[in-house]
Amino acid sequence: MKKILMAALALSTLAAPAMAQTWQGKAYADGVATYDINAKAAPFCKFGTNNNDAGQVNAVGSNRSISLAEGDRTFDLDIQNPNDNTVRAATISFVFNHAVCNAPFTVKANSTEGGLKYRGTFTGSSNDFLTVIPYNYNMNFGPGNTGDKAAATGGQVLVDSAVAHAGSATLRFWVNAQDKLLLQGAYTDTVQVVMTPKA
Amino acid sequence: MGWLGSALGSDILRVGLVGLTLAAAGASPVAAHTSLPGNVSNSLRIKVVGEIAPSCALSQALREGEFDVLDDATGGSRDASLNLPFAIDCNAAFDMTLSSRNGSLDFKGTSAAAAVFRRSIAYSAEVRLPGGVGGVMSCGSAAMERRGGCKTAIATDDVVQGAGSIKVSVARDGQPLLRGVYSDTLTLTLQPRLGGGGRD
Repeated sequence: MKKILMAALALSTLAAPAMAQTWQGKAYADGVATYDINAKAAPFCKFGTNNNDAGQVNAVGSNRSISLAEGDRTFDLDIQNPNDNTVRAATISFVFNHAVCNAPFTVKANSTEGGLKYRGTFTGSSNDFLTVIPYNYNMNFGPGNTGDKAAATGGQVLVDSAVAHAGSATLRFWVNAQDKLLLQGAYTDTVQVVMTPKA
Repeated sequence: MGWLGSALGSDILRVGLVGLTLAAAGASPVAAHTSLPGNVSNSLRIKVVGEIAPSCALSQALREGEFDVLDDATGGSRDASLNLPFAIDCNAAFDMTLSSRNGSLDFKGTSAAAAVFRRSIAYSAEVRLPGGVGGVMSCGSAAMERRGGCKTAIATDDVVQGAGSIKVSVARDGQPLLRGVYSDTLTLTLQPRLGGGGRD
């Protein structure tokens, strides 16, 4: 009798699949499943890399690239009046053919020197020579142009847009003529232009 | 798999048992007679039939799915996909329908931005059933919005039970996206195919 019971137990064990499921007491929903799908797009601002100069006056151009990043360039302005060695007007515009901010945004410019700073050594005392040449910039990109700004340290808002915008953007730098003399050498500045989505 | 005692079968099985009781009660007066007919038997054969109605059930662990579709390099959409799992339990052949409320992932914010930005993102969905039953049903979001949605017949004589999934995919596209959320509501419906069954 004991042998028979043991055999039955073994058979029972073999008959029950390892993955057998319990079906009693299960509850079921109907045959419908509904999903809400959300695709997110984070805020971003980009300057494209397909850019070109435009509207040059007394400018050599901006063919020399500082880096491969976006619109980084060196702009060369020829500001010396050949007749009297004073400062003559010069301007250059740079067009980002593709720029985009997918949210409300600002564009800020931050001049390192607050003007074109003389890089040589000037020990004289004459006020007739310029050691820093004031210049200006503005940017057209969408409806939020804040107008012309004189280059300054600390950052200035060039564009303040309440809406997203995509299209071409034009950045313009210019120097006004002045009745001042120029020192022999280079006057330079570095401007960082930052386009940022608003929080 | 033991279906006896489940809510689905119990009503029908009870009919069979009542029949057995009545038959036994009917046998008692016969036993009271002093003389029995010659063709009586000491056994009784009763045919008990359990009829299972065709049914399909779905359960879903997620009711909402979210994925990031922005391509940082272009500002448009990138190749991205979202997996929506479900569990299925069908005991008969069935029709499977996938429908979309909007026909695309629609931008949910309000923006006066230039028209160049995308206000909707088309997508595709692939439904996979457990065990590869029925292959893969693929459908575009626009087709899912049209009347009736995307529909396919799953012909099977077996139970379809286990884990399935819906893969929602967005394709790469350079047109810039607005900041925010693009949404849609997707509905998967399994409808047992009637005919020959007891379900009406």
